[in-house]
Amino acid sequence: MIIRVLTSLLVLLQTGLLWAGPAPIPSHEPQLLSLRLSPEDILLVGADSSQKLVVLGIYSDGFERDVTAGSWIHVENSIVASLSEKLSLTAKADGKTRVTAEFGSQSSQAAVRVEGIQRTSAFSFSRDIGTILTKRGCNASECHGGVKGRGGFKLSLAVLHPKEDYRWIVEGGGYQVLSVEAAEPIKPRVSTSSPEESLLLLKPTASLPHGGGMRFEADSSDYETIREWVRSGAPYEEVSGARIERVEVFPESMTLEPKGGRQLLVTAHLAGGGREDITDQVRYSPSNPEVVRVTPEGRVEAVSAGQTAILIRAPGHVASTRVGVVADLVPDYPQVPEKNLIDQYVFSRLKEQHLVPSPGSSDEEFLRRICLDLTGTLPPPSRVREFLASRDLNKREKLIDTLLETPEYVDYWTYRFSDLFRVAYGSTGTPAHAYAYWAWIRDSITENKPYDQMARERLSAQGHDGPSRHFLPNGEAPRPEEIMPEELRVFLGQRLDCAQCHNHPFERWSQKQFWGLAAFFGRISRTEWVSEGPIVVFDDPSGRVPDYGETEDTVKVLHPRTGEEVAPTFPDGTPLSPERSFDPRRAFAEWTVAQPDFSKTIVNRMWGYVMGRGIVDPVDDFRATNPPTHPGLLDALVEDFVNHGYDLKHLLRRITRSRTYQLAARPNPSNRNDLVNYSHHYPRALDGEVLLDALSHATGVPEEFKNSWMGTAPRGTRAIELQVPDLHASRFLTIYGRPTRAIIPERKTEASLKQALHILVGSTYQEKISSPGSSLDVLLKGKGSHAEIVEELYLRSLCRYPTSSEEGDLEHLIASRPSRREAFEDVLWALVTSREFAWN
Amino acid sequence: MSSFKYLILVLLLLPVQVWAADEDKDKGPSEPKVLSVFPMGGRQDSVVRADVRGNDLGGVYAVWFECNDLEGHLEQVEKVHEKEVEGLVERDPQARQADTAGYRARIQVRITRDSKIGLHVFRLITPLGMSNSLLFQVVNEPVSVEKDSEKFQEIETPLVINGRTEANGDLDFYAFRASKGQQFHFQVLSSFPIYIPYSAESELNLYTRSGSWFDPERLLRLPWQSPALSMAPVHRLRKQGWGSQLTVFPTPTHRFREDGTYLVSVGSFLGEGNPDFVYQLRISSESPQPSTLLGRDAHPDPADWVERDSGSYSQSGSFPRPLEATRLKDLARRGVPSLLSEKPAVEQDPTSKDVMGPEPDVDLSQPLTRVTELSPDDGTIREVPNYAILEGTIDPPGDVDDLRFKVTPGQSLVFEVETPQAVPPQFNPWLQVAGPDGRDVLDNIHMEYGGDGDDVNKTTERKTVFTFREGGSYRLRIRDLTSRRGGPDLAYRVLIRPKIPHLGRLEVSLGVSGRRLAPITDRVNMVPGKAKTFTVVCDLEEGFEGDVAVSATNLPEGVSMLSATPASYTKGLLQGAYYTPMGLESGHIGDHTRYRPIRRAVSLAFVVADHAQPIKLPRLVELTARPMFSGRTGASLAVGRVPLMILAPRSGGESSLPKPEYKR
Repeated sequence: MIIRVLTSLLVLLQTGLLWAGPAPIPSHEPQLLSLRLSPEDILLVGADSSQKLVVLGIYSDGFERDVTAGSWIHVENSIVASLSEKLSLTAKADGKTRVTAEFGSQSSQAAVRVEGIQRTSAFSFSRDIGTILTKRGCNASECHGGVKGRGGFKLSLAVLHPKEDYRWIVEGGGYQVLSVEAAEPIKPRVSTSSPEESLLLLKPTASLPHGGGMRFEADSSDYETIREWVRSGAPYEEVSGARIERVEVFPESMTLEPKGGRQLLVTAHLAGGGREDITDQVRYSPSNPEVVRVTPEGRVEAVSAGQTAILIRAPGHVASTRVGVVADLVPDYPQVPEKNLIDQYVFSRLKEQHLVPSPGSSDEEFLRRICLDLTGTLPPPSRVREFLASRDLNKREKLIDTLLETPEYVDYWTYRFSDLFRVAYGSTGTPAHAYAYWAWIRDSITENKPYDQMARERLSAQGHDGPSRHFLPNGEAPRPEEIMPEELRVFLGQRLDCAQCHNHPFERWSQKQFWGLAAFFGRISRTEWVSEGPIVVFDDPSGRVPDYGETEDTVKVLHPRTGEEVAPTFPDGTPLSPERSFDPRRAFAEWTVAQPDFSKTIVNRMWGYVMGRGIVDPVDDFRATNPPTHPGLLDALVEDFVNHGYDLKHLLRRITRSRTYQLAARPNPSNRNDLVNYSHHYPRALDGEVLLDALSHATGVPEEFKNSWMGTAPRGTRAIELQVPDLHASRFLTIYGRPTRAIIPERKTEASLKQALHILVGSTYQEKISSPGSSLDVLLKGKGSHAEIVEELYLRSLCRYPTSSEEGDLEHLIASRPSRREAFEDVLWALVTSREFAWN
Repeated sequence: MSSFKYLILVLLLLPVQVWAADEDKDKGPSEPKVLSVFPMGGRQDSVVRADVRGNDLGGVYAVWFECNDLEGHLEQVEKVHEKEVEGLVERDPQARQADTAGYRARIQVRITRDSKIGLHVFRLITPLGMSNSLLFQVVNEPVSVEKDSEKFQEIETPLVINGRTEANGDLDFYAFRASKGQQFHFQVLSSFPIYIPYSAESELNLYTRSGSWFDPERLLRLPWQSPALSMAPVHRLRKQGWGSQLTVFPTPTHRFREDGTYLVSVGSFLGEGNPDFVYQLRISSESPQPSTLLGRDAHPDPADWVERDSGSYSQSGSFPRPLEATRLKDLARRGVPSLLSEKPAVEQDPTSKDVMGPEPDVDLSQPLTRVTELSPDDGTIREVPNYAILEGTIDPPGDVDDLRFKVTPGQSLVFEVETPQAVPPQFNPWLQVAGPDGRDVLDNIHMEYGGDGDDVNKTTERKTVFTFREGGSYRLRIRDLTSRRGGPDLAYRVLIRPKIPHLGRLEVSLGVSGRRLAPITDRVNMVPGKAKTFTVVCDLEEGFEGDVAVSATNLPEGVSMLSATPASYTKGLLQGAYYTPMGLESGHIGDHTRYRPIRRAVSLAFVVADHAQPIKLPRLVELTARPMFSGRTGASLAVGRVPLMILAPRSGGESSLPKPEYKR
């Protein structure tokens, strides 16, 4: 065993996966090139309106630096607007003017327009009170914005549901998950007769014990605003024109140098067409506080190198901006050639972040990667030799096109989608059901069926064909509240489960919307029990079949809090029209594929499969609080995908032809910590199935898959070809994280102690390596020299020739061993247990 | 309990259930049992040599076909060696328990030019009696047999290939040529022993030899173009009882895009191999005709009566019985004619319980009116007479045919459906009737508790009986359960007719096992002095409340048939299942008489006199039944045929009968 470990170490050292260290990059003093004053077009509406200003210097090193503090800013006509000490522009009179910023030798101007100076803003509960509750963190998820609230007091996160917030404040009582009734004590939290005695003031000022501590002082403007609201009778008023329609953040992304800082600007776009600077009225939360901190006024300050998003919560809205803090500046940023639209987006971001991409991958690295990513299959040695020897400048593009047309491509992506779509005995009731479902996926991949069509077919499946088996968990009709969130997660990347019991704590989804959508699946019914023959899935307008112990009432789709029956209803409140009620899931399918997130989700998912990380990550967690790292890239890929007829092969071709995909895995000094910008290939562990197939390929010994029904898969069946995997117990696959598919699989790729032990003492590796008839056995019985056998083993397992150093060392090692067979078995063991083999 | 768990439980309990339900408890020498015949058929005007594998076939002396179409001869019988015995008895709990021996009998079957296409029943005859039945398929195309030695067996189409999935993971490949644009039809009929507790169906796959960049020998699996159905067979044949199960699959097709050599593979769906897993595969570019499809009964008894489907309450088959214009007359023939021609003595309360008797002013001898063009283009809803055959199609997908009919208060109607072309699960006709107020009053979906008692089964019914409390104009809506299929093959016939009290299905049961009441034997081997009880199950349809008399003909000399006390399993037969959910009298939900007959059992016994002489070949005892009411009887109706043999008395006591040796 010691010999094996040493051999393994030797291979690892030679393969270069132990990184040798960065090369130094020189730095220079940057020059100011121009100045930018933001916003460039300022509109102030109303008497109290104001706008914070930011001055940015554009430097020769590509950085935009916040130079507001050192700039001289002046207003051309101070009768129209004036500048405060905090560099905020305040409206004075209707009219137009200009504001100018000067810094160094550069200057920049912005146009200013002031309107409605006589108008004061009308009161709005959600805007005025909601802003305080949001900015002070009262309705944050860790406080009263949590699922059940805190201390008996429930608020919606960032005023997503203002009417409910108003009810809990003004009427009092506690929130109950399973009832619309308020829990005792029902005591208003405001006192209109004695406003100062209101709990809404006593608690946040810590005048009464408050788990959240002091949120504002008794002499603050927030205190005053609430007291005056209570004094005026605590009205619930909404002014339609004052409602925030969307929130815009400037900049959408930024790069900070070490110890750098920059001011954010947050603008509310109102329903009435106006704009309002709400930079001081929102709550800032960096996703990773180790990268930046943000002041309550919106100034971002670098803490350490890395990437993060900053979430900005305004009443009823969440926005975000992405921040990168560079470790070292790269003054002479190299020119990086681009191959397609992907490279444009990725490389411009890398330049912005001062991350130099790794060089392009070698042919060996590319060959192994593309074969595994597109087909889950290692190439035979003859093909490795052929590809490496080819001088064709377009050989990579040609190989991609070739691989996309192989049966192995069909095998691999059938396996991938069978995972996602949960093809399993347990989840469909019978092996035959699982097989039919699998066959539909396989046929869809074979035909390269447009993905929107696949989605439609699965979501609206009726009758007896393959996708209809998806609606027979354990052979029975599914529960609508379980199947609907799965569909949204798979096709829209939304994790909606928590809205089943309460309004979604982080997102706009309400419980009512959840059940409205669930009701589309509330009529799924089936004929006949599982063992009796063909089961037909259909939508019965009279509803799901009540099973024993259930009643007609218990199978209705009932809102758990109100107890009322819920009709199929789209999220915007539109109910399913009566003429479509015979076929509700077809309507649901049409709605689903029409959603912008539909294409985004599959594009992001496919990107994640081949790039190792989704642009939105996790790939099925689209939400405002989990923004994409490259929104422009995602949008461009989606447009390309839709324009090409939802063609999955085209999408894969587009991604894998990019230089971004073909970058080397080895990082350079500037990108060694980058895990989100695709500055180099991110190696990742192979799925257990792909690893087992690779092992069978490298050793030439196919795996035998027995099943729990006393049968055996045909000889030569690979793990990715198993139609109903949960019928085939496999210790190896279990150890390497094969999911049961009882839920949407989330594969864990972390190495485990079990894997380490299996490598050392488990049967799989040893038996395959030493099996009679194995590829090694055949080689040893042939007339090849040591070097030729070593070369063959390298080509089979690592898709490359051994380096001269490896050749020499291994020759010496083999010659020193008493048994030639044992020596080569050790070499092969070292190869197939190396990280280079088990990762891609 | 989930169905998934239930399946596992069934697997665990199956051996116990089989024994627990065997009422004979006779621990003497086993009856001969046959498991498979390979090849399982041949072409007209040919002689086929086939191997029959089975247990306790020592001394076998005859091959006995129930029909005269085929002639079988025994050529040789031998015990099979240990490894093969494993395949024969290892999985068979009865054989394992009885320490039984495995045999292979070589038989010769002569098929004449006039032998009927379809399945023919045969048995092997030994001194221990006749075996269970096996089925032999006769076809009219060229026939071939799988050759084990070849990786890809090249074949010429059209062809019927006999193959066997002998070992785990076996795949048999057949290579054939196809031209661009040519369409091929593939049908596979698989047979496996009854002791395999689940469906060990054949899996059929089609490939092109496209090769691959990775492997030039790699095959690419091609999708079937139609029907887009899962692996589950359309139906299982249940005619045979003991020896083997047959499954018939939908016939998938593929239209080839290029000239070339293609391959089709046959394997066992779950990868289990067994020398008794045999199959027949038909490949043809001709569209298969219903009369020549594999799995058809070569000798359907014209007296066989199909009330709903082919012999099961479950939706395992199609809607097979033809709804002819003479349907009323045919039904009347199964009742008591004199009753059907009389009016009630007194006026009935229309809301009272249905009584057996005539319907108002119906001439049952007149052919029924046929109505087509059910959905006029002008969007109007057509009114139809309420005794008529309605013919239409569901086309396009989601099509709904509406029509109206009038009823008088208290009028009872029967709605019957036939799907002459596409059958479930491709086409699942759904009838809904709405009253004058627009509210649904009935449909043809029946619900009952099933599975392990906590599931509810819905079945689309072929026949629905309903009494309308209120008169007026009613709307009948005909559609498919789904909205996904449509076309000329989704054709239906709906018969609206009066209630006609009659005897429906009549079936002989020699013993059943398990909660699904699977028949445990299909023959009667008796020695002198012994008796054997059995049951005739009678379905009383549409209010028939009379009695049933059963008689037998063609009994061997010395055998008589007597009435008997009900057998222990009779209760299960009457309620349709052994188990019903706890606390319930039956598994039905709602008014089950709307969808189900009243079942009665007639218990009988064959008794062999002490002096009866053994017979060398089985005798088919013909059972008939006659409906009776108020002292009047109806026509004699065929019930079924029971093969019966009288064996030689066992020497030296009942349990010491030596096994006869085989003699050439």
